[in-house]
Amino acid sequence: MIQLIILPILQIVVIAGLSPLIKGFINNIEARFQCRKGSSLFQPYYNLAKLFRKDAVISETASWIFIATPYVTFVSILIIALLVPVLSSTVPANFTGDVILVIYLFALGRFFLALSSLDTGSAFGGMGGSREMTISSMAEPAMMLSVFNVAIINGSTNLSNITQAMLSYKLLSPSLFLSLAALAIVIIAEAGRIPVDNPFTHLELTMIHEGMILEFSGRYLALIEWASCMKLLILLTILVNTFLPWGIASGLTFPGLIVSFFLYIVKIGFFAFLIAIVESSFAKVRLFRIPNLLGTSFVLAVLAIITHYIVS
Amino acid sequence: MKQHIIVNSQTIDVLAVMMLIATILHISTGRLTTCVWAYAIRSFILACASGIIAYLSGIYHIFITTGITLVIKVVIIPWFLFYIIKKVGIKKEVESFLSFTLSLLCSCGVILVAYYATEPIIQFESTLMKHCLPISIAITLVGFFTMITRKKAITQILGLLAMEDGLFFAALSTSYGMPLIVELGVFFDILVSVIIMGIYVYRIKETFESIDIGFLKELRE
Amino acid sequence: MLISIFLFIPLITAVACVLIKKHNVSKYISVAGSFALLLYNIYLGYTIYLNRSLTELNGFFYVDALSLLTAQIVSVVGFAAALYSIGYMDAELHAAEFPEKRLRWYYFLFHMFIFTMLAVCVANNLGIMWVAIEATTLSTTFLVGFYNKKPHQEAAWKYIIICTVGITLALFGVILTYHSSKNVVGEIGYALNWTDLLAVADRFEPHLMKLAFLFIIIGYGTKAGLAPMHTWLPDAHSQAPSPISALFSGVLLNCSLYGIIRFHVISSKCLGPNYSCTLLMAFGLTSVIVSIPFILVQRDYKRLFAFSSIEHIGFIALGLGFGGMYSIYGAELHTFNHAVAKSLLFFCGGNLFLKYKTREMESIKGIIRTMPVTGVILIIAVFAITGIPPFNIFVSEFIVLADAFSSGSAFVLIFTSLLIVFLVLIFVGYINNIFKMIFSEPAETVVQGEVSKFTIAAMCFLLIFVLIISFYVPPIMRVILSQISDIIRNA
Repeated sequence: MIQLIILPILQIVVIAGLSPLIKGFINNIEARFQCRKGSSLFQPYYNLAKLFRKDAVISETASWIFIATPYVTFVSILIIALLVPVLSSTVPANFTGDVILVIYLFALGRFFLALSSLDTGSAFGGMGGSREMTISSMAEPAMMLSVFNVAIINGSTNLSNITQAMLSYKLLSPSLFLSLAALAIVIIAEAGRIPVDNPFTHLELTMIHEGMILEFSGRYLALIEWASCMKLLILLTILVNTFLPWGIASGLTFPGLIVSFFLYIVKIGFFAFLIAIVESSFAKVRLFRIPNLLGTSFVLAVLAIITHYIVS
Repeated sequence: MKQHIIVNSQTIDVLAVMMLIATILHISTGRLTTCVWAYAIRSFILACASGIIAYLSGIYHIFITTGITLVIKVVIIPWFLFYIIKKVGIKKEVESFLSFTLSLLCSCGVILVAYYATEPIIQFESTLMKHCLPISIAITLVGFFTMITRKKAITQILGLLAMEDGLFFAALSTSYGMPLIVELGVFFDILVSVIIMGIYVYRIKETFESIDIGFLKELRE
Repeated sequence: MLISIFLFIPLITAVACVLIKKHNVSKYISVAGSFALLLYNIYLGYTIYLNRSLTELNGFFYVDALSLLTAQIVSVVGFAAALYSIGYMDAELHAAEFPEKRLRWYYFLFHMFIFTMLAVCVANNLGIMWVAIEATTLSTTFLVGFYNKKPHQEAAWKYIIICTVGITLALFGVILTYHSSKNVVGEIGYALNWTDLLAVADRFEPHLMKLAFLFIIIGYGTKAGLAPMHTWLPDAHSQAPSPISALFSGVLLNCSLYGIIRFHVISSKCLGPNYSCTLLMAFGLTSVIVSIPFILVQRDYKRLFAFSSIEHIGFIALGLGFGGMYSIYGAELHTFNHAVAKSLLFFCGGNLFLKYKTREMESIKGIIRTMPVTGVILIIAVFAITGIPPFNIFVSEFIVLADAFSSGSAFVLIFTSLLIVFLVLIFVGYINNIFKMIFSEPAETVVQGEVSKFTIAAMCFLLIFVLIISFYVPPIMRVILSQISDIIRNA
């Protein structure tokens, strides 16, 4: 009963509720690195609220895809939120929950975004869409390989089982460490952060994700922005709960969940802080250098799998 | 006096992997300064590993090598390389005979070769540190590979340093380091050779107006 | 104390040379220092002759017949080169090839070079031996690039990069040896002494030892100039000042080969002689084969001599690889013979360069008219180096080949027969190139007469050794050579 009703609500609330906060946190830290005071931690919430209240303008040439895209993206991310273990290693949608489904749901959202970017016929949209697809075609194999390595080591593609199994590790094995490094690079690319994409830029030559969503406004923009915040949080959650699941609640007891929640906040906060450091200390790389970065991630993932087989 | 000290530590293995990642960073980056940073980071991890091995094995002379590693490899050599880069005014991009993606894949292949080649040897090892020998050989071979494929004189120095790091780690993880006096001699040689090479980078830049070693082809049959 | 003093002599000379700012004084100090070294070496040789081996500082230094021979070569060629340097460098200074203040650094590095090579010979610890061999590279880089012009810098850069990489690979061989011996010796942090290792070498881990010797022969082989790792050698030899080229060819290559031999002994005891002997033969024959086309088509005489060094080092490696008692005896004799004959050739080459200011063989004509003494010595040296009877190289080549033929193994027979064909080819290449230079009519612009009396003195000094060995191997040398043969064959 609890698993069917409370846990799904809890996960949705945590993911959807906390995700703008993470974005605000990163922005604030970066501002401090630049010796600015920075906006409030809750600024992303205000932005979303404002966008929801505003009217949406839709291009006359746009088809139904354009309107459907924000909902598809948002819902696919929400479904993913049900598939990954957040506070407890038990997962609401455990019956179907599988890491391959997670990766494809991400791909679905991105597919619709790319379609809608072409839909309005704006030049920047198409450019952003094509870049996004190029990057994802390189990021996805690396992501899959690194996730599969974890799956192979633990003998399951079910995220809940993986988390459960990883609880027994005191220290990451070298192979898992390589996977962790590979996944960390991929997450930066997938979430569109520096050095792959600059989430703040609206300069036509450098936009990737922002280029795709340039035509959206009002509540549609709000949904997409929110979805992208959630995407970052979910990616970090996967990283945290597959590689460093210490302290996560195994069952659904109240004290366990409380402890787990605080640890979760700390771990996610730590990685968000790392992202802020990386974004402050590196410049966005040229588009043609991105394959280099993702190739590194791919090589690390391949090494992770093969070293696991050779040295075991 | 016979003593068999066995250090079983997964920490060392993880540090080894971190060194490997630093080496891959060295291959994949296009900036000369990042390459030097990668070297400094790898040397720092090496020093950490050596400190842990010294602590676990109780062979205290390894602490001395740890200290020297910190001073020479983490501070002096990177500082000297940065100084040379600044002094010579090198364009800060790495140039390679192969494209970056290709050299990444090649070094991935080289690393796998190192793993496969050492497989029969590491099966005899009773320790948990099974990644150390293959990774040290991998770092050595990748260093060799960069020496072959990179165009700039200074990247060749970095390749050489990578080879030396790999060997140092091999000695450390398989035999708890060489005798102290040998280690000291090796450190001295490495330091002097880097300085001499640095001086030659400077001189070559002065006479050839470039440190691209592709220009060095006057002497041949 | 005996061995420490041996090392101190060149060190003190080096420091004295650099502290005294007048190069007119320091050049005589340099000669005096190397002469003292030569005398001391003879004394040390006598001690070894009586005791077979010497150890010092708890086994840190170890000298036996093998190290003695290499040290002997160092001091003989070192003295000749120091003497030659006076004439050669003064003439170059006179021609304003380099600034005057650089000259004392030349003498400093010269004696540091001698010091590091002696350290290679007397170090018992294989790690220290590695350090010393790397130090020979470091001390000579500036000597190769001494004139500091484009080709010299290129040669120096190639030299330091290729040799350092090679030596780094050799370090891996040393580490693997250390690792494979760890379980036998047991004690952690022991000194890696060659004598201790040899005592227990039969219980080493054979897989690791195989890998170790492979790395050693590739690593030290780079420095010894074994093909295909020889690419630095012709460049460095041709660009360095001639006395340094003589030291390179005569001594440096032998020192690296000495490193290989020490590991060869350990490896033969651990694995049986076949493995390392086959590797030595393979690298040796490759070197001989690779050098031939370059000798035949060469136009630069210093490069010609350099490629000939590759060939002779290959021959020595082959002799060691054949593994018979007399072939090792012959190979070690060849080491000495090659050192003196090749240094002599480089000295002749240096004289030619001073006179004609070119290294192109086509532009040099009529040496016998312009420089009669150099011309005659050049003829003798060329005959000696190509193995024409009755000169010394013929003696040692004959011993090696005779022993190889008598061994009866088909494998060795094929190697030897091929080798003889190659030797004939090399002879043709030499005669073809050199005799045109010696006997044709000289250009009228060339001034007659020798360049410097110091260079002639140095050449005559080496010529004595060439001629003595040609007709008579002194008994003390015979004893030392057979002792070496025993050491290498673990007898």
